[in-house]
Amino acid sequence: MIQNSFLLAALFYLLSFFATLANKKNLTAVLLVGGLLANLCSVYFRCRQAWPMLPLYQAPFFLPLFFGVISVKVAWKDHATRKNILLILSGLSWLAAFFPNDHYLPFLHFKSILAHLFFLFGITGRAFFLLSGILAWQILKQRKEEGSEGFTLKDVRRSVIWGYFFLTLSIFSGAIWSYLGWGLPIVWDDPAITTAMAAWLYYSLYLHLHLISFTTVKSRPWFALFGAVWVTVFSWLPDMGRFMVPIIFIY
Amino acid sequence: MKLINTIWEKLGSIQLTFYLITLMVVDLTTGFFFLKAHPHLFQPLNDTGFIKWATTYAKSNPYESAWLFILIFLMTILSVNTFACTTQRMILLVRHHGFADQKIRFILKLSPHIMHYAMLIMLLGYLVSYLTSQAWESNVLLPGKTVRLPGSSCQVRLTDLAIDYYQGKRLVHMQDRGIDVRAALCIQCEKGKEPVTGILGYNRPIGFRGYSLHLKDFAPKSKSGMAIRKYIQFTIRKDPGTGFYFTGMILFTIGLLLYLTNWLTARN
Repeated sequence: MIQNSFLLAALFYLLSFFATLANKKNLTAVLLVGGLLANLCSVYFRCRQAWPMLPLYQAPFFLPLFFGVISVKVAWKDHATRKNILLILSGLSWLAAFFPNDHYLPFLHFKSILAHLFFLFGITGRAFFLLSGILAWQILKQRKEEGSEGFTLKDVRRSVIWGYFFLTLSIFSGAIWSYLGWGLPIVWDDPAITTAMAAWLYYSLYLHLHLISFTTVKSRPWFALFGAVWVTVFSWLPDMGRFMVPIIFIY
Repeated sequence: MKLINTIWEKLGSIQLTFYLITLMVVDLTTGFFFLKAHPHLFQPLNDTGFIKWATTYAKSNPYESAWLFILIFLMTILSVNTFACTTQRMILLVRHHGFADQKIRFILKLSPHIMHYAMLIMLLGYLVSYLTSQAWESNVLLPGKTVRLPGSSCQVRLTDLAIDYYQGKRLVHMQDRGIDVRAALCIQCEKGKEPVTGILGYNRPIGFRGYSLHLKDFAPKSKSGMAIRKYIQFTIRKDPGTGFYFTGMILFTIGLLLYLTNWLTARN
């Protein structure tokens, strides 16, 4: 059920991408909502299987849902953005389906509300950063097509600020959890600690860019785009496992 | 005086912040690969202090651990830079606005500076923690037995150990296994005085006179199987940095919420 509901979500996301290519706005909406609902089911079953503990290595399965939900409003503003969002959404979900790493069992330290907050805030933050990257990409494309009106740097900044807010909450929840569970400010067992710190510093810098004289307004979308790619690669890929064909395709 | 002013201005330069953070991101990315490839090298940092780790593990593996020393160096400069930069701006803000008019607006404008000072307090906490914290691993207690708190005359006694075993069907891997552990501890320092009691569990430490006790393991883990004596294994820590980094986190969160409020109200 867990795997199948996620595969169904991935299929819906892919179909909604094709529907948007065919310029069928209503059909895209229906398929996207279907995908999000199937993804929500998958996420629910995953949590249920481990609750009250935090399920491990589930970020790739949660990210499409969170990214899809926060992007809906933006996606409906403009066709090209919608196309890009659905392409990324579809790509993320198919990658998660074929490179799962969700077979690890949680242990008792993971039975804490702080562990859940650390995870959920982290995913929300990453989803906002990813959205900021897509918006930045749209701005860069708009510049080439002169006269076109669309997204502005304010939209990118809004997404970055929300991402930064949630990433900070995630890091702090993780730090409190680390202290309560192990008595340590940082648990040095997980390399993701370095990428979380780097992402936090990177976006701290992004929020200071307007104060730095040698960074021009033109360079800011590139900065946001690079950040989104970096965050996706270094925070999301380590949660993925080896290539594995889903069972439904084998039998 | 002029020279001091120039140095103070240069130290607070936002351009310097840009270069420092860029270098730190590169360094942390490098650290990711080293941490992934050599987890055994960095795991002891959890148990030993930084200086002990630096003089043993890091000394024998300088190439693999260099990124951490570079990070500390960059972080030190960033702390000085942040302090100088935010203090310079705070002085300007106070001079130009004063406290009397538009109090709320003024407080909202302070938000980035609150976050900057909070970050410095957090970093100070981490520094104190890694330089001065002490850990005593693997203390085993059986019901009724005692362990002495290191460096004190206080005795920790396990008065009761309650383990709830999972009986449901939903968590397949937890069938008949302990899912909740509550170890009742009694800490007594002087005879005749009222002892301190507390319940120790996973993610539920006991704090006492600067010490903190953290549950590491317990037995019997399973209801079925071979009969094993009841015991708990716990870590004793003394970390003077804790207060600093938690204060910093609270302050940073307040600053961040004020920043969000300022940004949302300015937008509207």
